Amino acid sequence: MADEMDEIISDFLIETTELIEELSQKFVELETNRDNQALVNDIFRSVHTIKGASGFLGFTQMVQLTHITESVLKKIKDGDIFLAPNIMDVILESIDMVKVLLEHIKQKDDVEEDLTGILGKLQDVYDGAGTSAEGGKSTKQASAKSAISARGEHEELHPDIDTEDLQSNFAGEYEDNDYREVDEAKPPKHLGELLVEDGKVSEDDVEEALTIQSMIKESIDTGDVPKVGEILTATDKASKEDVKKVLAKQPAQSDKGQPQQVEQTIRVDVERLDNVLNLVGELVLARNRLMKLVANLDIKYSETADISHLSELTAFINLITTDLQLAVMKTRMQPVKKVFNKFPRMVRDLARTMKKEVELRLVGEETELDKSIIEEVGDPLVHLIRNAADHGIELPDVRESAGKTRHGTVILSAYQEGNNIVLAIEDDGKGIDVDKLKEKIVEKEFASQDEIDRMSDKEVLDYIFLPGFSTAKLVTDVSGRGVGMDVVKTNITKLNGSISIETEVGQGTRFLLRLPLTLAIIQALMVGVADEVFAVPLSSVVETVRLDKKDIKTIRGQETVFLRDEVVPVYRLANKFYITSTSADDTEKVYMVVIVVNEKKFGMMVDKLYGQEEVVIKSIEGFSNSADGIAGATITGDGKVVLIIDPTVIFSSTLQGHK
Amino acid sequence: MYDKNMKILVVDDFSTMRRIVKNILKQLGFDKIEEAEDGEQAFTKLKSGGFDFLVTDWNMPNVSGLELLKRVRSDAKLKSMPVLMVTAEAEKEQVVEAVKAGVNNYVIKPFTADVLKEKIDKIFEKLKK
Repeated sequence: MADEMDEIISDFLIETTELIEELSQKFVELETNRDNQALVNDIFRSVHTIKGASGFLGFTQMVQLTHITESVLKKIKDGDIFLAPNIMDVILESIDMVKVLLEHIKQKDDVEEDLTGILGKLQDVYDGAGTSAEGGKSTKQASAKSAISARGEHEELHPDIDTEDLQSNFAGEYEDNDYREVDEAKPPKHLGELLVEDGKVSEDDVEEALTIQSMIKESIDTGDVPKVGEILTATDKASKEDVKKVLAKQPAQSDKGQPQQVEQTIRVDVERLDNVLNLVGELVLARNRLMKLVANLDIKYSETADISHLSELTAFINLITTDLQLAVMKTRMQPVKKVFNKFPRMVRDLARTMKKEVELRLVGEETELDKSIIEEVGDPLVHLIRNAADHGIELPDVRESAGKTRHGTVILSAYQEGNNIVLAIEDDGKGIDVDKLKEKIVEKEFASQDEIDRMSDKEVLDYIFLPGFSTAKLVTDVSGRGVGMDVVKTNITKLNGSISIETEVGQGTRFLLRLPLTLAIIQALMVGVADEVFAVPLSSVVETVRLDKKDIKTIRGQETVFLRDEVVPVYRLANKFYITSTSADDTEKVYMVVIVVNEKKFGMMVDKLYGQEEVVIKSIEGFSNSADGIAGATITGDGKVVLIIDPTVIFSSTLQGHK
Repeated sequence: MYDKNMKILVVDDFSTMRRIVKNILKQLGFDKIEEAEDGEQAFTKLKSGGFDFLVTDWNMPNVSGLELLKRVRSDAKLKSMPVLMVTAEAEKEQVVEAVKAGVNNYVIKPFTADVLKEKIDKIFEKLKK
């Protein structure tokens, strides 16, 4: 029983956290689109749901908080409160408190938060509206629910109505009451309006019916007020058929604009998925070996019928394995919406503290990425978006005098490009002034004036990503403390991704993050140095060339090669790993793998090229990998353990070496 | 009084709530319980037959509990299905609406196993009469 309870609570935590995440975004959306009734209903229902479940699970503080929040939302929903920014602030604060309470529930620390502050604020919002909203229904509710004190509401009305009596009174009438709202004076379209539209009754008739209704409302105590439709038919203004016909339209209309559809999903522990992925990884390795063996057999005994059958079967297994692998990958894919969701709220808060007007637009939220990448990409994005809002977008007055709109726009988009997912953060702010950046680089002694003069704009911009480099003139609360961009870059490269900048002064800046679809299985180029085999991620390989040794020229102590009008520095992989290369002395021709790291080309000299293979990355435990240029290991088709090299690390160290 | 083997459909959009309600029903000795996450899904399940009792939440997206109740009552096969409505609203108008639409009884969240048992007892007592 205790276990069952624990499971329910952990379910509650997961589900509620998801709801809260969605809520934050919906609120921001609501602020720009206050008339979206479906959205308000949605938000109301979410808070309502959290309250309901919390009640069962005995989370008293949560019930207290959500109860009054719900009451406030109800008033917003009913149009009794106008959703001004300051009211929104209070509601968002209460949602933040819900998160804090959730964290306590998660930690099981039994800590009670001091809710008086936020409850007081909510109560003020709630009371502030009470004065403007007179009329039978709302006053009755206000007194019945005087918010906080109504925590014990379930005791208030003990359901001892004689159901049979009521039922026989209204027998056969339920099909006439196909609408939800009792109060006919609320949006969306009402029965009266619809009947007028259809020309069935006149506006005056509806007026009259509404007056009758409100009279009845005042005179009786229960909420049992006849519907406008009932009054209209009773006073012979409209026929029962007409009312029915119009009513049939009504629910359909209110159903429109429902923000989301319920998905058919089951919840699976991530550990199980990881396990499946691991097994598929093993299968891929075994398949690779099998294919190699069969290929060998095929050469030796090509005439044997059994062997040709075996080949066919292997080809089939190969196909299925590839499909299976893709299918398993898909189970780990999640829409980037999961990370994007928190940004509208963040940008809104930022804009308010910085007195700027910033609109965040999200594009391609449905684009999917591997779960582990989604988890890692959040922090870098937070940083880039903050930067865009803080340094990129100018103050409204500045923008106006520059001939731009007062409000700046930040666009966060995601799309697929081949085997990569691209995340772009684009602002229409002031852009980065490359000349100023150059001054700064020299001033901070990151490079000499001479070096700077020879650099392309792209290379200059790359300095932003060096540790300890910040372009912010003022250190603000938000960003510009000189930490960050280097961390962003490190995080992205850790994910086998890359980051680049495009900017134009006065027009804005765009950061592009290129990320792989998945981390676990990659396409690799197998290369050899002496007897050692290494795997190079294909994503960073541009081409392979075979060149004459004499084409390699040494410029300023650096071996380089002239490759199609481009000077490419050459490194010997053998030297990196202290191996004696076989091609070091006795051959004329050598192989070079051209690798691109951060849009810079490098040549990597190797002895042999074996070809392309799909490799499963296994991390090497007990080693602080990647620091030494090794991303992990894999097992090849012929059963050898092979190291996967990490070009970004290898070449970034050489980059700094010649700085 | 009632058959512990009867098949019950629990409808709520919040899976935690479904589990809680299921749990309480299990405490009362029921174990043929199925779930649906909104009125639409619930109605499809009910139509496929075999259910003896419906426990539904009120406030759900797409097809609400009330809507579901109305559909059940206007369906030739399902119209006599006993329905218990779960609601957090202690508001009379809602209850009256549900009663008008033909709900057999309703229970207000949060409730205990005893309260639920009392409600179920009442429903099936009345049905016997």
